[in-house]
Amino acid sequence: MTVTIDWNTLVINVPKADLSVVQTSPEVREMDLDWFRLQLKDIEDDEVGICFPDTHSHNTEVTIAGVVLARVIEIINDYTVTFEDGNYSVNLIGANSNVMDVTNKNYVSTRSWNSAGLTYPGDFDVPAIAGAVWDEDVADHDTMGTFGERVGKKLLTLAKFIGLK
Amino acid sequence: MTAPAYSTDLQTVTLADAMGTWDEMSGRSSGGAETLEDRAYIQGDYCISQSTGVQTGRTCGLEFDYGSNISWTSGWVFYVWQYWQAPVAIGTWADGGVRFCVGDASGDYYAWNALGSDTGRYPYGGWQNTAIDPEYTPDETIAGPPTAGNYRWFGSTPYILSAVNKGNPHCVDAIRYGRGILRAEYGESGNYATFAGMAAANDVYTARWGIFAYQLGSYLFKGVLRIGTDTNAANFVDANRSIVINDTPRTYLDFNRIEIRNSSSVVSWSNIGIKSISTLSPGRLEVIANADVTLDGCSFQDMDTFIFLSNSDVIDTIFKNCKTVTGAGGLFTGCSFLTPTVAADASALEWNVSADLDGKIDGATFSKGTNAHHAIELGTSSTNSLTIRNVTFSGFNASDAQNDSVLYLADKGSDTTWTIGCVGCTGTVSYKKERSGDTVNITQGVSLTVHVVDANTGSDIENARVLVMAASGGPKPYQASVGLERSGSTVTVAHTGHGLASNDWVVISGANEWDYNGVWQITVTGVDAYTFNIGSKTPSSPATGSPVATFAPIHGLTNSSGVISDTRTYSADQPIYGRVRKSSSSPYYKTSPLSGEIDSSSGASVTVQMVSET
Repeated sequence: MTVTIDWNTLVINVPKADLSVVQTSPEVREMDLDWFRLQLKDIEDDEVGICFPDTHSHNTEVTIAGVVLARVIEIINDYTVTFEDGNYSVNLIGANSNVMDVTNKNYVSTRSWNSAGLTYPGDFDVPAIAGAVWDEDVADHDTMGTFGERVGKKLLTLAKFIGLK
Repeated sequence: MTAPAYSTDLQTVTLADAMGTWDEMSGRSSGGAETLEDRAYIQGDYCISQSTGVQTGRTCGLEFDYGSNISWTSGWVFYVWQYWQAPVAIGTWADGGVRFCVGDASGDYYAWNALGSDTGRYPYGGWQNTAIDPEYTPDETIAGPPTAGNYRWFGSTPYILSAVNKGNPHCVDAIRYGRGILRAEYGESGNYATFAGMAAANDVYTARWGIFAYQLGSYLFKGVLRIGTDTNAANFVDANRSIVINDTPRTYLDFNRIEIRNSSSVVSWSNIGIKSISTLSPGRLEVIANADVTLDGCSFQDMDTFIFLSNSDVIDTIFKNCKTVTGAGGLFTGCSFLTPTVAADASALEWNVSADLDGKIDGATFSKGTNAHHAIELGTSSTNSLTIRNVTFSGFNASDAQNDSVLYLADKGSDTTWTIGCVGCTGTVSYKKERSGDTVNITQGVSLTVHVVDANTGSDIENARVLVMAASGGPKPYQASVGLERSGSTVTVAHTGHGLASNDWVVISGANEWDYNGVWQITVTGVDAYTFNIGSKTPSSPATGSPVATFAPIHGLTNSSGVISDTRTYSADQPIYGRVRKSSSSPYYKTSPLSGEIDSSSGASVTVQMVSET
C-alpha cells in the first residue's frame, strides 16, 4: 500500500497501513507530514504525475535566532486528502499544514499539531474602523447588558441631567 | 497446434538403387560396365558406379532410361547426385569436368556442366548435388541432336584428364525432378518449424533431396524454401543460423528463393545470416501472404531482391550487396542497406504505400553501391508528405536530378507537391523527380533542447522528468477534441487531421474515466486516428466527458548532462509550455515550469533552473 492520487477527483488516498501506530486502544496513528510530502513528490514526477499540477507547496524548516521554525506544507490546486476509512485517529506531526482543512470526512478523526508563531493580522484601516464605529446606528446596539445599551442609558441620563430631555 | 512437417515436390527419375535400365552411355562406352555400388552411395542403399580404366577425354559415361518422356513444367529442374573420386584427374567446370545429360534416346543428349576440378566441393571432392534446368542452353550436344523437351534418357559423363585405372571413380546416385521446393508447415510452441528441421528432413539418407543440407555448421541451399503453404500456415522460429545459397549456374534468375506463405504464418528469425555464392540466381526472399514476420539482427549478403509486406518487422538487419528491397509498409528500423547492386537509376528501398516513412526506417543506413542509384524510391502510391528520421545516407550525389540522388520521386500522373521532412539525417537528402511539374520541399528538422540545471550551483541535473507540451497558436495539436474507445489494452483515439506520427507523445486530459488521462506514446493508424496501449487499466469505453489531446514533443528524463532533446519538422513556429520535476530521490527540487516557442527554422533551446528543496 502506498499513497495514491485519483487524478480525476484529485483525491490523495492515504492507506492506514502507512501510518505508524502510537496507541492501540483507542487506536491512534500518526502521519509524518514530511514523509507525506515526499510521497506526493515521488508521484508528481512519474510518467503520469508529470501531467498534473503540483499537489502541495512546501516551506522547509527555518532556524531563526536558534529557534527552529517548523516546515509548512499546504495542499493546493483543489487536491483533498482521504485517509483509509476506519475507527482511528491520525496525529499530523512534523509540520504545520492545512491537511486537516482538506481532509474528506469519514470515520477517521485527524488531529493537527499545528503551532502558531508570529501571526500576521494584516493592515489596519483606521479611518474605516472609526467610520464603522461612529457612524453606526445607535438603535442597533441596545441589547440588554451590552456596552451599547450602557452607553445609551448613560447618555440619556446625562441629557436628562442637563435638561435636554 | 501441430508438430512441424517438412516435404518436397521433387519426383524421382531414379534412385539408382538397382541396376534397372542403367548402362554404359552409348557412344561413350570405353569405360567399365555399370556396377551396383553398395558402399559409396549418398542416397538410399546403393548407387551406380563405373571404372574408367586407362581412358582419358570424353570416352566414358553412364546412362539411364526412364522409359518414357517426363511430363514437364517449365521452371522445373533436375537434381542429380554425381561423384568423381579423383578430383585432380578431371577437367574444370567450364571444360565440363563431369556433365549431366538429358536426351530422348540412348546416346542422343544435351549435356550441361555439373562438376569440375575447380568448383563446388572440388578440388576436395565428394558427392555433389547439382540442379540443371534442361531449358538452359546446353554446354554440349552429344549425337542427336535430341528433340527439345523430350526428357527420357539421362546420363553422366566425365572429362578425364589423366587415367584413373583403379577402382570405380565415376558414380551416380538419385536423379529427381521438380521445382525443388522444401516446404515447412505447422509448428507449435516449443516445437517450432526450424531451419534445422528442414535440414534434418532433407538429410535423412532415404531423402537426400539436395535442397537444404547441413554442412560443417551451416546450411547449403538451392531451390525454394517455402515457409507455410497456401493451405497450411507455419510457426517458424529460429536463431543463430548460417545459410549459403549454392551456385546454380545452369538454372535461372528466380530459381533460388525463400517464400513466406499463408497470412496465418508466424515467422521469427533472430541472427540468421544468408549469403549467396550464386551469380545466376543470387536468391530472393518474398513474403507472399501478409504473415507475421519478424527478422531481428539478420544479415543478407550478395542476394537478389526482397519483398516484404506490412506485417513484416525487419529490425537491425543488414542487406549487403543485394538488390532492391520492397518495403510495402513494413518496419525497417536500424537496418543497413549497404552497397546495393541495383541498376543505375534504381533504388535500394522501394516504398510504394501510403504509410509515412516516419517510424519505419528510423536509424537506417544507406550506402551507395557501384552503380549510380538512389537510396529510396517513393512510388506512385506514396504519401506526398512524409518524414525521414535519423537516417544516414552515404556516398550519394548531393545534387538533385541525378541517377544517384538520394530520393527518387515517381510520376503520380499529375503535378504533385512533395513535402519531405528530414529529422536528424546524415548526408544531403537530394532528389530526382520523374515528373517535371512536381514541387519538392525538403525541410531539415529542428531541435528542441531542454537543459536542466540547479539554480544555486549551476550543475546539470540528471534524471529530471521533463514534459513539454504544445501550447495554442502552433501547428501541433493543442487541446484538440478527441474520442476514446478501448478494446483490451488498446485505446483508439479518433483525432481528426492529427498530423502526428507513430511514437509521438500525446497528453490526454478531460476524460471522466481518469485512467485515460495521462501522457501516451501513440501508433498512428490513419490520418484521423491513432492508438496507444493503456496497459492493465480498464476504464469503461467509450470515454465520457470532454477528452482532449495535446501534442508533447518531449516526455522523458534528462541525461547525465542534464539534457533532453527532440528533433522534428514544424510547418510554423510552435509555442510550448511544460514543467520539470525531480523528486523521486534526493536531491529533491521544486517543480519548475517552462515555456517558450520553437522556431520552425532554428528550433529552440530552453534552460530550466530548478530550486533545491529539503
